[in-house]
Amino acid sequence: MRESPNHRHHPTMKSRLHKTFSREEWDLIIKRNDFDNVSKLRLRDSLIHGVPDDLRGEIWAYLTRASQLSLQFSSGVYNRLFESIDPNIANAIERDLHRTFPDHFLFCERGGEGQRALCNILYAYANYDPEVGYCQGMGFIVACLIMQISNEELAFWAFVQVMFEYNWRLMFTNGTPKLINMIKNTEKSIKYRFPEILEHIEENELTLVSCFAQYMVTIFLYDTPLDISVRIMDLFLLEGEKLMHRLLSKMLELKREKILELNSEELYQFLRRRMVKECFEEYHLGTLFTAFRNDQELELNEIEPA
Amino acid sequence: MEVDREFKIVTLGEGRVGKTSLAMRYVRGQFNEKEQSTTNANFLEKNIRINETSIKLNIWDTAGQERFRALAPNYYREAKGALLVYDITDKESFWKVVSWVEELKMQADKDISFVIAGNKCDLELDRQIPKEQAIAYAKQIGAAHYSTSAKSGMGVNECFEEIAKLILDKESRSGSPIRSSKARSRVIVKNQEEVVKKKKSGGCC
Repeated sequence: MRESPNHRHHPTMKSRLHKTFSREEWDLIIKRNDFDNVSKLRLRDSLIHGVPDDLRGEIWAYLTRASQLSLQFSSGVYNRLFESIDPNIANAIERDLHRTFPDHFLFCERGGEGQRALCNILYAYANYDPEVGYCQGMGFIVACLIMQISNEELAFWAFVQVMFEYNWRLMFTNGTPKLINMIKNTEKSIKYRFPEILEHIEENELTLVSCFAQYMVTIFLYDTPLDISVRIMDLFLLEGEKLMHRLLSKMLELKREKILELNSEELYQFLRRRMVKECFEEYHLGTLFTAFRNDQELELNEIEPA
Repeated sequence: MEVDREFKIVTLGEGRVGKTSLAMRYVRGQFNEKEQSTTNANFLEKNIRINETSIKLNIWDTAGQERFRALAPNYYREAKGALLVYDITDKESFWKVVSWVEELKMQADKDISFVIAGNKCDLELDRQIPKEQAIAYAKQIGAAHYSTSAKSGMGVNECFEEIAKLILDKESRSGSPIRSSKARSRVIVKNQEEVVKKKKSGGCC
């Protein structure tokens, strides 16, 4: 990996690294399942460093506190949640099952194991949260959780946590208030840091919605190679929305010159797809996920849960 | 190639009717049985020539999800043409076209041209919308109707080119070309420079 030639924001990045967790420590953390008594700085650096692939599902369940949530419900609740469903919602869900990661081995087979789990969780969620029901985009998040968290029920509770604790449900309610708010924050941050990029996007008659909305709605899952998007998800599950703004700004900073050279469709395709892949191929995750020093000055407000 | 005109076109319609497949078939000549559902929008360009005019079509292929309808003006704003797509095997999707026409008449550019595409004509046996009904509706709103299949390619070039023709016609009738804004002409200039650069490096398609 090539490192950023430009480290002016973080001259002492190396020395600030905290000791990453060993496999034994991860095992212990998962076993104890105690979120509050773990150093967040070590946790963060360990996630940036990369977690053992075979533990990722358990780590995600740990980060989302999915099992704690499941304990609040009597056993069998999950199974009852997907037993029956409004036929209109069922229809909408089923139409998208084979259009969610259609090339992934778990989801490529109609009626196969992955599609069945995806269907169950989406049915259950629609019953659990009738105001949201089902909306396109949700399936990508659920499918990604299923790929890592092999226990379907636990994957469901992890999804519920993403929707409520990380407040992603407002991405899918009518009027998509969270998306609108995130786009507003993005505009504020680009205008402040890279006004020339915003101007360039507008000159090309593109909008921030058209370039970035699908990153936000699907937490970078749509159109991002999965080996990259699981790494983003690792950090997202620790830090939520903040991480997404930081990553987006960082990518724009690192690719500023290229962005200003591209136009029209090429610009669009770069911003909404290729930029992520290029950044993760060329830069270390530590670079991509570091905060800007002037983050606080921006006062980006997250929308409150409804 | 010098571009005389640049038109923005938007595809609209219910989810899963084949908007992305039609656009991909038209621009890339490909059909992918396993197209992902569109969560936001895609943007594709195609250069065509109609009579003596070379035209660059900027095609915005939108997501069908109703919940995101609030975002739709982002895409149809300033569009000169709309391809309204329904699935001939899905009655509901036709009514969605009707509601899009209503919205566009109220909100979009008043000169916007419509073409309606009844897609998935390779599934004729499952047809739920009588062709005559769709054609009658198209006539009523002054739009052209095409039977298309992104899978076989039937009617695909025709429906997109019809939109370009309709826009050109409107221009010539109104006397003044629907001229691009300052920003757009700047983009065109940049594109010409790019083409020149490409030629120099010998990598032109």
